[in-house]
Amino acid sequence: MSAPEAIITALDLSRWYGIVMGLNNITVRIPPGLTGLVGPNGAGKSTLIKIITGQLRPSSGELRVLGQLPWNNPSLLRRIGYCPEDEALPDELTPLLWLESLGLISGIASADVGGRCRDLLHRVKLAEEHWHKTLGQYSKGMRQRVKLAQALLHTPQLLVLDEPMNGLDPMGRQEMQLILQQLAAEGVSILISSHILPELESLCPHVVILNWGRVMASGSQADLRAQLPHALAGKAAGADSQPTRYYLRSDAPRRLVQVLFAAGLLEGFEMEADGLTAVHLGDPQAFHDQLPELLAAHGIALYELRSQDRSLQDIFNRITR
Amino acid sequence: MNSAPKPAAMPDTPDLFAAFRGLWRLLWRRQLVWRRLLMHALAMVSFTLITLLVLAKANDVRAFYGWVVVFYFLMLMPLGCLTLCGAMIREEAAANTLCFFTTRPLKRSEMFLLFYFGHIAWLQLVFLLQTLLLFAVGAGVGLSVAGFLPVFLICQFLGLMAWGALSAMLGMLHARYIVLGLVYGLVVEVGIANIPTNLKALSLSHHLRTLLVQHEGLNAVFDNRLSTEGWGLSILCLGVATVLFLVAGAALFTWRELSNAPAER
Repeated sequence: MSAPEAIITALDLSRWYGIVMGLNNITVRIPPGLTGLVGPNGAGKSTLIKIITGQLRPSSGELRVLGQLPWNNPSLLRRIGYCPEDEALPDELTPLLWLESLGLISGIASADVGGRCRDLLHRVKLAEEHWHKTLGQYSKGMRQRVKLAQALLHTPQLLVLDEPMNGLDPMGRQEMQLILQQLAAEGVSILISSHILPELESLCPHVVILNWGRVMASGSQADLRAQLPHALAGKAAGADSQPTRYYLRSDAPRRLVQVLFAAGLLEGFEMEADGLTAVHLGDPQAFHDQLPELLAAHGIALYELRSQDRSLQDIFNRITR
Repeated sequence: MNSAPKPAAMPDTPDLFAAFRGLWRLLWRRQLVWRRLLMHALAMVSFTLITLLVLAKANDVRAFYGWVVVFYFLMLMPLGCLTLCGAMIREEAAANTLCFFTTRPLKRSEMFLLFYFGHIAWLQLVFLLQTLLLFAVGAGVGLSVAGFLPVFLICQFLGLMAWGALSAMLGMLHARYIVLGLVYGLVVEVGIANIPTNLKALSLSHHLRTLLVQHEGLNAVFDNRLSTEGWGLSILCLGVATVLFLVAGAALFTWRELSNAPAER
């Protein structure tokens, strides 16, 4: 099966800020659908996003979005929606006034713009009771929703989101994920930069990992996982050994930890939200052998057993270290 | 309620008039916040009081005309333009909100012009109010100045367009546009404008003076030294200067990123 046509292609793309290099000769191809842009601070994520959205120009090389160069290109910008990382919004305006004004600037007909903005505020789940407040009175999460709404104003074909989960509570993140998944299902391609990797993991089948202005890896999560042992071969011993770190989700996380400790299987653990426990095992083989019996003996229900060593976070850690 | 909204109907070519209306709605609401309103009100009250003091002391129509030319047209208007039009895009960039405009489906030059016309429209309104105050004070102290109003308004309109375009261009040129503006003012509008050669035609203030002295009373202030001829050429020069400054400003905004990137910071 041939690969789908890329929506974004960068070829030998570099960008300098004076003597500081933002992007270093990257070549990458981003397919349609949901793609996560992953990297530590200063990796070049925002620089790449700003070039994609026509806010910056490349210093050398070329980047094309939907086959066109983004700088000063209204016909392309009509097909791109952008949600910046920064929280800055005009604090003295109400969301409807701000969105309607941006809608008019975007070319939406006067007769349609009000309805369109209301629909979008509903879509991003901003409760109507907050619409009359000014943006300065909004929480971080509400500002994120309004920013997403402005990115959707002109029905973009490609949505570029810089850290869209920032400031959202767990419920808000879940809602944001749902909105993005719905948009993707409607055929909108989405590029998301985020440092919250577990969320990208469940959301984005395709990831691009950046570090020091370079593309460290790019592809589907499945491909990257498959390549991981090869990537590790030269780096660490025991590439073929079993994973030692797992996520466990159970109905009794504290008891489960006590049981595993008592059995001498646990080297460390961390309790996380929603009954999730991250565990570090001394002997993975013994863990696998004994776990079913231990669960049955103590009446503990295990809902999820997932290796951390194959998580997006792990892929990211191994690739960027 | 989060079902897919109906896609927005997008025209193939941008409706610049609708875009201007969108920008204007943002602009005037933002100008009417308390802090800015207070500043405007303070500036207007101060100017009115000073005018009242000057005119009450001199009680002479010549003082009114002198005050209008020297202070109002050559100080207050250019500085008002410099602070508002010079900052029009820089302010958005500094607040990290410029991206909401530069990622809209418009050319950067079009966006620059929308910003310019939005800010100039606001300035015209503010200075119109200032004009009313000025002439009310003049009439209040018993001076007969109403006949000067038509020339005054024409000069104010043209002057604001030209000073505003120059200021918008300086804002695109450098972050220290106020300093640039003051240097320009000293060299061109104060220096070259007063050199008795044809070089003075390079200054905007020369053309504004030429237009203002079409009113006889004002020409008398200058002891009829200024020629009342060539007003058509002065209007043309102010218009051409406005267009040239706008073209240069739009070209600079198309060339410069001004996206709060490390280099810009």
